[in-house]
Amino acid sequence: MFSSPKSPALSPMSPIMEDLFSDSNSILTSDEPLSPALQPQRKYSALYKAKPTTQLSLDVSSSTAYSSSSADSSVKSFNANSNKLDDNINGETRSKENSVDDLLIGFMNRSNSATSNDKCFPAFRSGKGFINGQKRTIYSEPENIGSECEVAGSIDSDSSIEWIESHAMSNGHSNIPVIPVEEEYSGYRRKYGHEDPQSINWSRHRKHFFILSSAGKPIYTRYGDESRISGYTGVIQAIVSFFVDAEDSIRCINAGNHKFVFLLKGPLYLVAVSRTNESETQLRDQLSYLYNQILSVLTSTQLTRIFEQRINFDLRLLLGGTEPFLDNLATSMSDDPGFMLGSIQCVRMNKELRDKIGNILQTVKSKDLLYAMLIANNQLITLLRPKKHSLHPADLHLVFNMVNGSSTFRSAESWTPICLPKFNNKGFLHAYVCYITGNVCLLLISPDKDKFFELSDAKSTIVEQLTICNALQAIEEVSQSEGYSIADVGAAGLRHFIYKSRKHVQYTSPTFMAPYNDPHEKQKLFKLYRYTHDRMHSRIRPLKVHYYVSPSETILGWITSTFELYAAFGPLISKSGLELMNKEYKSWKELSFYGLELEIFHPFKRPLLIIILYYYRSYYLP
Amino acid sequence: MSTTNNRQNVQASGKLYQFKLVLLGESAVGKSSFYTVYIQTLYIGDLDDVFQAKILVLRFVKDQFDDYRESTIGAAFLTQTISLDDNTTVKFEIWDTAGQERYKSLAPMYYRNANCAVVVYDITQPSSLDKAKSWVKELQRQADPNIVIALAGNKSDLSARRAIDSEEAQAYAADTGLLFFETSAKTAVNVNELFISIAKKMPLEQLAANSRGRGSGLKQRGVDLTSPTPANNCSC
Repeated sequence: MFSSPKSPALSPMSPIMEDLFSDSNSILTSDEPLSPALQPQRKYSALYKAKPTTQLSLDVSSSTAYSSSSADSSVKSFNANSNKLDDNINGETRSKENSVDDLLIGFMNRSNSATSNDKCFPAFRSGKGFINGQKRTIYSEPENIGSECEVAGSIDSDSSIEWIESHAMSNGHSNIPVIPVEEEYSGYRRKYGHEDPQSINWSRHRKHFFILSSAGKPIYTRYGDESRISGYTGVIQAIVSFFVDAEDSIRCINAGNHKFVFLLKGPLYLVAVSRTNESETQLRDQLSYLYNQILSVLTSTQLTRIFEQRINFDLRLLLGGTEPFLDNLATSMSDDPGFMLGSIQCVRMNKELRDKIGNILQTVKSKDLLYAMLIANNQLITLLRPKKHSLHPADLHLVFNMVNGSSTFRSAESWTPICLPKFNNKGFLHAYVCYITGNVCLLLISPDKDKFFELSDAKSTIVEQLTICNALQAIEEVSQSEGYSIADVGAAGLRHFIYKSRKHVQYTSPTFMAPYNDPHEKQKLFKLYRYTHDRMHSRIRPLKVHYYVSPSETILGWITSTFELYAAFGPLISKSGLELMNKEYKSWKELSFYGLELEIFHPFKRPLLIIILYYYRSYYLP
Repeated sequence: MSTTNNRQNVQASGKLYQFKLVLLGESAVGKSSFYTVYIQTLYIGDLDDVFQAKILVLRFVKDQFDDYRESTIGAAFLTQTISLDDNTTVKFEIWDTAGQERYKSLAPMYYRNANCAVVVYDITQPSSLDKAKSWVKELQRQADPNIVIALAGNKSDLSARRAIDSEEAQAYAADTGLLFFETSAKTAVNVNELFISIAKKMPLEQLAANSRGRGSGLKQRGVDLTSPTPANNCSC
């Protein structure tokens, strides 16, 4: 049924070979075993000669290549109202012959030509000569890019390369240079902070994020050192201002497998350079998350004021210590579906326990307290909020990212200003952060910067009461459990699913059991989910139901007014079988899912405590 | 951290002394490593020299020195209560502030009630001494007039890359009336000495009298202390 291609050469390979392995699905699925003895250098140099052209050629001709590459489609979308699968599922046989990735690339390309290209290229055409002139400057080693495009292909997420690389390092084959001595205990060590932006390793990463000021000053790069990418940021700034001059704004460049997505936010330019097959919209959403992360440190007021005063201000001076959060965010956006879905996940626990915890949190109500929440493993246990001020999932993601992104919260009680942009992007709230057990973190958010001791006492009260009714132990146990498996759901043929309650902006998903416990397979599944999500949320033609067959999975996407469902089945499920199942699932969804929903989506349902807001009076405005 | 136990300890004892310390300085000079080491060594050192009491060896932070410690976010608050004997309890409260410029406007909250401040600079970073000097100035202008300030030139283990002369800092400290030590949080050199001399300079009476008015915050105080919390300098 399901075969997971494994290479016998996985462990002894040299790092470069492993990258090659991870990058190219055609190599992966090839019958020829990879020879560990093959000299990677030679392989690459051969590629340079074979493919001297740069992948980043921004020729308009590439857009025509896209439209021709989408001849066959195994995707059939149909309307939910018809409630019937289209008989005409073309390409199912073809999809079994080809690798899923080839097909997907074709599809993605087609969707490119249908959506983004339409918008990008007319403007782009006008800038063609200019950009071609800049081509060599963007990447001063076009050969590297050529080689990259040769091996580039298929595995979707950028995190796969991280996995492979850490594997390589553990094998002691790492060719990564030793950290220079100047960096000796000077704070947070970034995993890729030492990478040379001119090196192959750097350009090979699947997804780059850059943040720069409108003056072209580098602020953040996901890989490497910001101070060394000023050449690239200069070029980005030039490209952006070229379009700004024409009273236009650049949104996306499609160059072969790479997408360059731009998000211009006042004094900040955010750019994603990705070959992960994520759509323009998805990448732009991710850029927004990064932008919000910066706002959460600075507030938009401060950000605007700084750049009004000095347009060429080096924002890194103010963002010091924020890199772990940006790095952590960039990584989690690749493997947490919550970002894509704009929703969060809750810790699964029984209703009585959650009620008990919620009641205890309510006992500390005071006007100093705006939000109170308990978090474990990036999931919400419960949340206390004023009735009129729900917490936007994007803000919650920032809060989670903050708690998750730094280990310093574990050692003491912390008190930190935080701006929640969806709540109010102009001022700071103040967060009290404390781990009350090994895994469970209590967050109390106040609009007043002087309320640390009040909240610290509130924490003591909460912990005392939780201990009295034995809830503390229970929470810790629950937070250590691994969630539920697909077997617990008890639906035959279903391999994995993501279910999002639109009303509660929460999602639930079973743990990744075999075969998805393999990071490689998991990423493949994620890619399918992302693709389905993008198709269904297309601005041009949003879909209610989407059915897609790949060689290893069949993905059903289904959106109603109350939920979004992404479900993965085996590849051999027949359309009539699915139709049958679809009926079965209707009842199943109504019962089981609502059962789950009552349990999992509980915290937002109960009438919540009204807390009077004093923030306009005591808001911290620097 | 077993706060409940500590609270009971305090309630059972006679006298409560509070030792409120704030760590200030530019980012990445080693403040957070500093207090970790400090807490580890303090109880092992000659506390009885100061408090004339039994030493209770307690370690409540088990962190090892970490070359790549992440930046502190906002400020971290650490408390520990130790019983020196049946009648004497000392409560340590440490505010470890983040050194980044953007948190500067929040600093008054942390040093407002401190009875001692350790201003840390990095002997390999010339700019960090300037920053330390501006902190000292601010403390002398705005903090409690009785505050004991110590200047610590940290990272003395990196003497090969020294950028600030010991004599220069020493002279500055003498001029402004600061305690001065060159320390290494990594090797724990002089950390103990620094804190012992702070403690010596600060009589117990002051520690007791100078307790922070925290409003309704500190429940155990009603048991131990005669003075109810005055609404003095707390703006809550």
